[in-house]
Amino acid sequence: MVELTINGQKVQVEEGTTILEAARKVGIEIPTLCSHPDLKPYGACRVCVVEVNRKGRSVVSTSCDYPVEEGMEVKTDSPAATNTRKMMIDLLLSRCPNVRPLQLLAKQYGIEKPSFPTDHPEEDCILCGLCVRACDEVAHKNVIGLVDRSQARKVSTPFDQPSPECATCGKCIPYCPTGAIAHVPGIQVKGVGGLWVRLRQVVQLGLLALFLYLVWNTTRQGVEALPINLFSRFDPLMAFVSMLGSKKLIANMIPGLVTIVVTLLLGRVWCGWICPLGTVLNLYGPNRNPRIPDKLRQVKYFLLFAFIAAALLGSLALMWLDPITIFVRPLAGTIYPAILQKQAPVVIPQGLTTKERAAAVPLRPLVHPVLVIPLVIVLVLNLFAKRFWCRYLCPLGAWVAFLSKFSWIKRYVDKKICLEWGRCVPSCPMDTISYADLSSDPGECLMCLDCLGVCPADATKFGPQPKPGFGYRYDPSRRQMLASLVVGVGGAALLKSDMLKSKYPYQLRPPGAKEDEFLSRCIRCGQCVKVCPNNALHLALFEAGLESIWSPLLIPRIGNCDYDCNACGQVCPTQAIPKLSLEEKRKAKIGTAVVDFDKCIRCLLCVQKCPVKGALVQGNVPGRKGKYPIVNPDVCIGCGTCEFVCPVKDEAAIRVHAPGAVPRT
Amino acid sequence: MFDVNKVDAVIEKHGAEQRALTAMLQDIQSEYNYLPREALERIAQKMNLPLIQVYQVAKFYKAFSLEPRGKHSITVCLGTACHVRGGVAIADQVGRLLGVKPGETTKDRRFSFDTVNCLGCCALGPVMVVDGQYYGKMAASKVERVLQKYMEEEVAANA
Amino acid sequence: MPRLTSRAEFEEWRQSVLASWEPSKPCITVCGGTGCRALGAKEVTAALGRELKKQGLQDKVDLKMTGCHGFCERGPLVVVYPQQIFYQGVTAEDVPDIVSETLVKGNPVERKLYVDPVTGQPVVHEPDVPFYREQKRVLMKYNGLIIPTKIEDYIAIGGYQALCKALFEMTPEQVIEEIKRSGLRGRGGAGFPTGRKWEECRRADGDVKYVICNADEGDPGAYQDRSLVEGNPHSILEGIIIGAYAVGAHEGFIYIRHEYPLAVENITRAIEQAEAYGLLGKNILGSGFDFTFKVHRGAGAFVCGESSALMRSIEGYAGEPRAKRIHATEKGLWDRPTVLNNVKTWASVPYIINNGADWFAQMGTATSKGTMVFSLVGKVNNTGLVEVPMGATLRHLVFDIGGGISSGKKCKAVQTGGPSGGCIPERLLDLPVDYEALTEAGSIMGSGGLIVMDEDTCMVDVARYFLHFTMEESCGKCTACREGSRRMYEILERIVHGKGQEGDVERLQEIGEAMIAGSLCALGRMAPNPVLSTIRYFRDEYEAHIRDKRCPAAVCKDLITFSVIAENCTGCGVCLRNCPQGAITGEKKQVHHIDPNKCIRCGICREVCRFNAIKVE
Repeated sequence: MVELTINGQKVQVEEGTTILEAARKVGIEIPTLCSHPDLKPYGACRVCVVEVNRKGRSVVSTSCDYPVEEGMEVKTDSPAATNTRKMMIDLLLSRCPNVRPLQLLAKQYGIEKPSFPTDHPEEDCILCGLCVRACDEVAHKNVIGLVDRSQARKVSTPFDQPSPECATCGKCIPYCPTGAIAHVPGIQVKGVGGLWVRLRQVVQLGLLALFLYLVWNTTRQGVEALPINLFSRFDPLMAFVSMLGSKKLIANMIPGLVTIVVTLLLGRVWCGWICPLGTVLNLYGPNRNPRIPDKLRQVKYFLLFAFIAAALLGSLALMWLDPITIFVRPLAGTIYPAILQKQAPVVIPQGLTTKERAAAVPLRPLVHPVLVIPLVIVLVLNLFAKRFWCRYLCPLGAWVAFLSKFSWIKRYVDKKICLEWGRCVPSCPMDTISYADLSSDPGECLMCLDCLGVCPADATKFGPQPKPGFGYRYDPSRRQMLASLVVGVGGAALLKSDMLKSKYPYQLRPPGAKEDEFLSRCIRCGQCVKVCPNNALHLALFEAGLESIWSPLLIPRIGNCDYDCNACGQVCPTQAIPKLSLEEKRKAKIGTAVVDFDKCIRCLLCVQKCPVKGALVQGNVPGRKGKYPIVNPDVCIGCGTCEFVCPVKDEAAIRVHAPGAVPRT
Repeated sequence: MFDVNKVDAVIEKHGAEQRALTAMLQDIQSEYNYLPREALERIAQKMNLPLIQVYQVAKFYKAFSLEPRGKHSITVCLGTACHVRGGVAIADQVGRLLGVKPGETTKDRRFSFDTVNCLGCCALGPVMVVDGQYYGKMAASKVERVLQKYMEEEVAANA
Repeated sequence: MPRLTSRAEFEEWRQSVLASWEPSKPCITVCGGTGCRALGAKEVTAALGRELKKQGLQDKVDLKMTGCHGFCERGPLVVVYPQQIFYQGVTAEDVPDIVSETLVKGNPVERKLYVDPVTGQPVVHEPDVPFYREQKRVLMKYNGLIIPTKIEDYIAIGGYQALCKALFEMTPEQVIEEIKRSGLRGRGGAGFPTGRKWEECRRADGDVKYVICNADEGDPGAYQDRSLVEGNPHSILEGIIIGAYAVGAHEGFIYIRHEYPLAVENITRAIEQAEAYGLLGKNILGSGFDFTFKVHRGAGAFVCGESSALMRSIEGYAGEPRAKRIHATEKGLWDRPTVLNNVKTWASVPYIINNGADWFAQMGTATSKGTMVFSLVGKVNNTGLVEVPMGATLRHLVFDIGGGISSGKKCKAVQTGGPSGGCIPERLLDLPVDYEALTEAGSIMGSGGLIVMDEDTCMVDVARYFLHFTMEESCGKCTACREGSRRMYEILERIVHGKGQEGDVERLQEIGEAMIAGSLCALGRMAPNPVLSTIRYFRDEYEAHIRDKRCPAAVCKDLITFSVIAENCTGCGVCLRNCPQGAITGEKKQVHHIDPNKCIRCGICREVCRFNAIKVE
């Protein structure tokens, strides 16, 4: 063992240790650019100079190649050492002014910009010789070398010709501190990231195709054969909020909880790999837009907390902002019908029988253009910045972002092997990579691996990182949370207040749904609308009150609830429409039919068509002549067949009233 | 023309050891007036050395050239003694007349122009050497006459 | 001649050589150094041979082409023995006169004698020429006397006696002790005590050890090593064999510049001869000591003068220096203990062994012993190689031996130590030349180049010249030297082009200090010396360039203008005809005019003008 003093601190190390190693052992950092623990010291960069005092004689010397000696006194930051080091850094920075690790080191020494001009600002090789030593000592290839001398010196292969050995080796690449290795002929600096990106793209597009396929097949037949509501069920926000709203564990939404767990493990993979809307938004738009302030990212958190607050009060009124619903609704309510409208007449012919009606497949659903608006806005915003929605607005995004800040796997950059500082920065579709230190917010990172794809040296890593990713200016603050809670609670309370509460007498919900519970579960996705074979379900606008916007209503005049169908309950992901067997469904009360005897023309078509035995019979009405249809309110389930078939023009003479809205007779 | 047997003979003569590398390259340089790439590859192969090591040596030392040199070699001494006596003016004048920079060869491969750090005949400074013939106490005004001689010889030889 | 296998056989051979060596026999020597050869020494020798034959004197007179005599300024030199009549500037046309007058009649040929510029009198005998008179020649003593390629000549002057003495009368330790006592220090420039170096190597573990002679004389303006190798190769060889015996090495190398073809040839011949006579190889003179010696030709890299780079180069790699954490005497060539010394160091060894340490130590100063060979070049009258005891003053060298400044102008400075050294101003010329004094003055001894500068020398330009040199010769391995020299050069370059900025001098000093502290090898550590020493002594010149955009010595092209002095111009038209740019206009017999916009300041007009009518400001 040899004892020496470093910065006044006594250090004992084994013989043959270098000063640099000894200093590191006791936590004294000496900057260096050409030394590496794997490789023999070379002494080229001269940055690791220290002042060494031996037997009273003091010299400035490199520490990387200086073996310790007994009684040696080392000062790593004496004026002589620091001045020399500073000049070396300045000289190297002047040679390679755009090499980021050099810029950072220079900054530490107070050098803001290089002291000497250069004609070749693109130069990035500092001639540290690490690659050459790696080629000799690690790869045992001896292919590249430091060739020529003086100003012409460079790393090169013989005759500057690409060597076949380099194509399969590449061991030198991670040793290059500046990325200059990429310019050596024949050396392929291609990371494995490209494969990952390819994989992600395949997964994304595959899932998008599956999503569209499932939406297309959201039909009565489809429900039996396919997991139609798969995407909704995996939606982590839907799962969280619907369970929060209903205060119940919804069995159907357990996959959504799985997504939450996955997010806690892997980060925002939902957004980066699964979300069909995200996939579409990933296809276009600029990655960076400096005009959009970063602060805007806060908005999505604001929305999220408002959601949560409202859900706690049992309102899911804002769920129409969930990305899955944004995407499904127009597909189900606008685009799909629009396509079908081309094949069938637009006008619904009145007076058809149920059977006749059912035979007229494809059905003639109504086109609801208004449902497209949110999607169009989202798509247009994307022109300003890629994934504008995901970055700044998406409440689901905010939810997984919040979770991802705690995720086990996070993105980081191994700066030691970073070859080309900042190449990953513009590749990020979320623009979350900081040029200063290459870090990113795990909450914003979608794990899309695009940064890995452009990383020439696989310096971008995805691995366990224990520290939660907070500390960003746009992180949700307590004040902001409070504000959104107030908005959420207040808004929900207001919606549920008597003033705004719906007084619409024909507010019919799909079979089995109970109004209050229904609103705390319905996520306004519109899948029930799409699946309804009779085109009986439609998304409400304002007629059923503000809270009910884009929740489904049964409108018998357009279509009656098929007595032999329970598809809506099967397709509803949050079981806002209960999953009923056909038997149960046939008994589920939607409302009660009420006859307007003044209008009734006594055709008795309704009695004839009523599927429920004993619900509608012929009978006499006091004070009127002839037979009129008579409703037995205890038997009537409110399927609306009577209202649908009623041949009276415009408003039918028999109408189904919501439970509790039945006029007293 | 490149002859692999010549290179083999040089390797044979010096013994296939790393230490003889410089000497081998010197012999090949004087044989071909430059170092043909094939020769370096042959040496690396025969001596079981990485080619980059041979290439490094060939590039490091000024005596070696990887490009064919001119028929006549012009060297202007820029040693300190010659410098203080006006060697730079001689070099400038040679460069101007031939249209090349030091270290270059004229396009017609007739002249190679180099400067050298000291030829050790400082008493004669400034000195210029053409094909081993020393021209001492040179002046910029005399350069053209000296070069003229070699150009005329050339013309005479061609005729 | 069979190999000599014992000291007795050697003695026998030596006696036979001496018997045929007649000191009184007339002999005519022609200097065969590179300088004189360039001036036509070969033609003179051939003419002498023909003339002697013609006059039937070829058996009565010896004709020798020797090594360098040192007085290169006046070459080709011819000396006629035994009278030592000294002729300078001899051409083939002078040969018949020299033969018929001097050899036949014994009279000097007046017109070829050296004329003392002080007295105006011709000097007949070589030792009376002031250039030689003021010297103390030890190493150079026999250069003008012997044929370098003839071992017998060297034997005749006492050669290989020291080797015999060392091999048969002394133990290796005694040899080292003798060298230590002599106070001999490395002549390569750093001045490390030679005896101590040898001792360290002798004590180092290992059976395989090496000795190396560094003849990679790269400093521009220094050529004394070349002259020694060319002129007396056996003396170096003998010194090396003695050194190898002392340290226990059995293999040695001489690393010599390829720009010195004659030196390579002569040392190669010397080795062949020594091998043939059993002075090299197995069992030298039956002593049981084996030693082989090889020539390694450099290939043009100044940095290979640095010992670790030199060893790397011998090993067959690019000559990149390595950090010297462990002395070469423990881990040198191929990681074996190695002694590396300069040519002059090795050449001093036989003289020390022969004459004793005390004889050597009585020459020189307290810390620097013996003699030193300098090459005196630049703006001095008597350019050449001079050997003086350590401690002689620069003034003595420049004025007494060198004969003063050639231009008749004032001496401004003397540059010593080549690109690693510095400029010593005229006012310090009384400085005694030894290792310590020169270092004190901001320069180094180096390998002994002395470049004399007069008022027409621009010190900034000189500094720029040296920085350009080191920049080009930097191996490029370490940041300090590669980038530092480049940046210093750039700053100097802009100063001489009149684009200097305030603070440039300080910037130069800053980089210089960082290079001194931070460079890997001596090349980089010493590279700032020429700049720092000129800043130290000639700061006003830097400031004139930077502030006034003026070059006081009228050297820096961008800061000078050429014009015609109307009173002197005769309108002869010579300048007009010679101007390469056509910048000069004027009618015959009219005063000419130089167009400053076309003028490229090549200086040809001034050279060709016979009326001193071109003015440079």
